[in-house]
Amino acid sequence: MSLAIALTKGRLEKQTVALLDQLGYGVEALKNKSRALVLQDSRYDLSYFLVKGHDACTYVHHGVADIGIVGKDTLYESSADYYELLDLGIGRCQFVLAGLANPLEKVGHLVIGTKYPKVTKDYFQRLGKEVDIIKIEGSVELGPLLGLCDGIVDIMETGTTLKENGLKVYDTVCPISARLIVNKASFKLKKPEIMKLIHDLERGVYAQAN
Amino acid sequence: MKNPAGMQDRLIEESTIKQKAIRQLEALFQAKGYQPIETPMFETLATYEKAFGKVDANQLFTLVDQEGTLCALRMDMTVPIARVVSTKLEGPLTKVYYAADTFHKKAQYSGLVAQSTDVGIEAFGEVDDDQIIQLAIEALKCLKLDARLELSDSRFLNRACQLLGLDETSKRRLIHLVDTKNCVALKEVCAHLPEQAKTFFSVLPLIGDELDQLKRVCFDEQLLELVTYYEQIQARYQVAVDLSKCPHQDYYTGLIFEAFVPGIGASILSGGRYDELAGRFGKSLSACGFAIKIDRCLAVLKEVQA
Repeated sequence: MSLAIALTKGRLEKQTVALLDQLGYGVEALKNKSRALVLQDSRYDLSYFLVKGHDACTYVHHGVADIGIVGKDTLYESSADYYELLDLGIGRCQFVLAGLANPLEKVGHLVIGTKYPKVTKDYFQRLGKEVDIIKIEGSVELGPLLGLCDGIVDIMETGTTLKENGLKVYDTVCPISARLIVNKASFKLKKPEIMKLIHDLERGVYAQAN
Repeated sequence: MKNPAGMQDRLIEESTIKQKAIRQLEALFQAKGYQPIETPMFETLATYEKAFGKVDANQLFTLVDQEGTLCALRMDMTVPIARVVSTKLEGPLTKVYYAADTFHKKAQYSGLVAQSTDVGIEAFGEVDDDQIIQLAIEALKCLKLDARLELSDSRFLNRACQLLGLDETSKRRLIHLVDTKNCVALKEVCAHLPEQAKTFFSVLPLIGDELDQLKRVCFDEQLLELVTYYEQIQARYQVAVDLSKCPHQDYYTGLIFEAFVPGIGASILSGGRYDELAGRFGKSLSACGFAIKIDRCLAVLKEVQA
């Protein structure tokens, strides 16, 4: 049976396509940035489409995509239902707590700005600290600079953006990498096809790590 | 004018298919000795609290009855029927069927529907698992659905986790990771487990039907017995088994099962054994049943019944 795979556009796209390419999958259409929205694998019975991370979860939840390749950052915030079967080891970065001064040392009412309210809420719950969370959609670093919040929880890849804005990292919240998620019904109905893809990817992940 | 959020109209074509399917199922259930039953469209919140211990009020449509008692639109038929059977019916064996609307709040803009017609049966008294599995298979066949029926057992994962002597939080986390086949996080958790348990929990999520393999990694007599039990059922009815699943209602006490159909992204039938639920309403009776989510099947029914 054919598998439909939702890939996350942007940051993860290049690395995912490279991984599939290296494993011998027919991803020419993905590499050539064809204008078509749904792209066929030239070697296997697979089709790919590129969407935003959160939408990949939605497509998988509804079973429109059998499989999704999504960053753990997106999964943390999603309430969709799926199986999380594999860590692809690509797109590695981390969630950090940053600020002008250490937010954890602030006495009294603490306000944190973030694009990731669920991750932030869980983190402060683990610390047993009360916090007010303000959802910010982008350029989160501005928050503490303009006095909107005492600190931020955000994804850090290299740390350059934080440094340029005079923000310091005070804690690591959790690591992030790309995951393979599977629709629950698809897993039951197309297990051999899905397991083959997983075994192939596992091989690729292992080769990259060593 | 617009529909309430999460609610859908069924226009003539779809409604015709749906009503026909309901009539077919009802005829089957009647032929097997089941009788019709109806309960109110809403239950007092206390009824659901009695059944579940704690209810997530965010998932329920709450309202008040004429006397101001807090109520909720029924979220299933099993709990209301257990209440009725336990408090109002006599006799050692009660076998009932229903086709009834149930309500469950869904996240905004998720595209999920909040109302579902459940068509199902509940049997109270001495009923064995086989009878119910057979009837579920026949119900799927009667709708001409090319379905995969998959069995599990609420005791299996629970027992395995209990043997590790974990505290309640760690146990619940481990169960959740196995149930969602989160092989990534599971690997980290397994690293701290004793050797035998490590092997068991790392293969369990993906082992599925290969029960002879599962037997080889079971680290306890009771676990082994359960696998053997399902191996026999699997051979009798050619059904699938995945013992890594845990029930999503806490009243299940043994067999649980779901059915999947190609082209539909969620299970269309679910059920199981719930021997302690009637007891929570005052009369101890073992019970087993299932329901089909008929609205989810409509697109496929349209094709197969054409």
